[in-house]
Amino acid sequence: MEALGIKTGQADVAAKLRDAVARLLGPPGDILELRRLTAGATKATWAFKAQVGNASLPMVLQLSNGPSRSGDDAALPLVAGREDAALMMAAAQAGVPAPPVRGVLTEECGLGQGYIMDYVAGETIARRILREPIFAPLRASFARQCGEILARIHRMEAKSVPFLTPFAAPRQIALYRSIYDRYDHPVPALEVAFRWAEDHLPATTGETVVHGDFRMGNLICGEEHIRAVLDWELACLGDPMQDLGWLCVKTWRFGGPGAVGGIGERADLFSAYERASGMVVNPAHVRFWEGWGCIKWAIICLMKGQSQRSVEAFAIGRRMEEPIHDFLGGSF
Amino acid sequence: MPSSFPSAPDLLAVVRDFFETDILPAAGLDDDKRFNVRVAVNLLAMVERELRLGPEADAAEAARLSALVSDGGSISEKNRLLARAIREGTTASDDPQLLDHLRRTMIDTLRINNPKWLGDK
Repeated sequence: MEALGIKTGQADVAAKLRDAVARLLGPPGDILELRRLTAGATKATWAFKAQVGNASLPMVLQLSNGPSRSGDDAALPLVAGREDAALMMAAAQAGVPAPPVRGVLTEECGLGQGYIMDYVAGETIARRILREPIFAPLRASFARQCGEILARIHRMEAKSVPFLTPFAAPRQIALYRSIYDRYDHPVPALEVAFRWAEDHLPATTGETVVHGDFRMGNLICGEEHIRAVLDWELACLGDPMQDLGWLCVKTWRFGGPGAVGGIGERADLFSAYERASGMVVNPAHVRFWEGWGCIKWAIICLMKGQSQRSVEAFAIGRRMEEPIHDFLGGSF
Repeated sequence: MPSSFPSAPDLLAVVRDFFETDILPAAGLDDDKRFNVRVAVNLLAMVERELRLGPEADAAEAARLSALVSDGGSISEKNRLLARAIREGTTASDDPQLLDHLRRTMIDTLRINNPKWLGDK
């Protein structure tokens, strides 16, 4: 029965997608090799090939459920649907490698909120990028490329993405604290961590477009270059140093030896960022964001462990102590 | 119950082994299912470790907590009081005894949840 349900869903998506492609990109719109890449509670990603004119184009459909999120997801400022598409288009305009958006779904498409983008070939799985010999050239310049890409993201004009929520450090700390409080699951180590964050707030901060989840796992990588930055839904207006810090959080090193995505060194990330942005990077300022990144990831694990009853969500819930351990050990 | 055989940890070990050797290599599992079976297998291993290591970890935590929090009975009651004391400032968040306790608690928890994070097998 379940299999039938999935097939029906797939056929339904294929039919509506065909009409959407024909309307947004051009006829005939025939859909081939439709397969679901991810299926979360709030968004789903499908890969397919579309017949547009004489060409068979590899594409991706990104769907999001929009504002009817429940619980704590609703508290976090998330970018979805049309705004997500606009953000990626603005990023591409600013020279950031982002998947090219080809069309934004309208209500008459009958698929809810979402957009269609080019399929960008490459690798996102950390284990492969960190270890396979073919990615050696990428690894040699990974930290530098990250610095250059982040500089371009932070140079994006806020006016071009007016829907982004201001989300500087004090507001983030307050929001994540309120989420933690709502679960009424007191964790003394998190109380220590929150106190640390409040006591170490950076004295000065810029306000730029911030990606919010720039890390290994969200980058489509080729053998030599980072080809596309994915998962812009946590983007906001805030302290640009947040993105440098998050990239170096221990969890996102996936067991690799380097601070930057498990591969590179902070010095290379910072110097490339400075050259590309004209800004000076204060390592202590970035360190605040690495530490706060541990705390934030711990709260996200807490949220996942209390959300939907699924194998994957519960497994993430049991990861909460990893970043707390890293934070207490100062290994960030 | 204590005399029922095989033991609970052994049941988990056998179920996990079954999924790893008989189910995972089977043809016909799509990527999504294969991923979820792997996660499920990890959770079984985790619960097995919790059954084997949990009681000793709890006892150690309870002993350390008694030195830090005089009121409250159970571990979770003491943790609630300790959390409040840190938030209100009656317990210093940089107190060495507190930090030592928290670090040990995290290490014992990771030995159950994910020993690889500690560099262990």
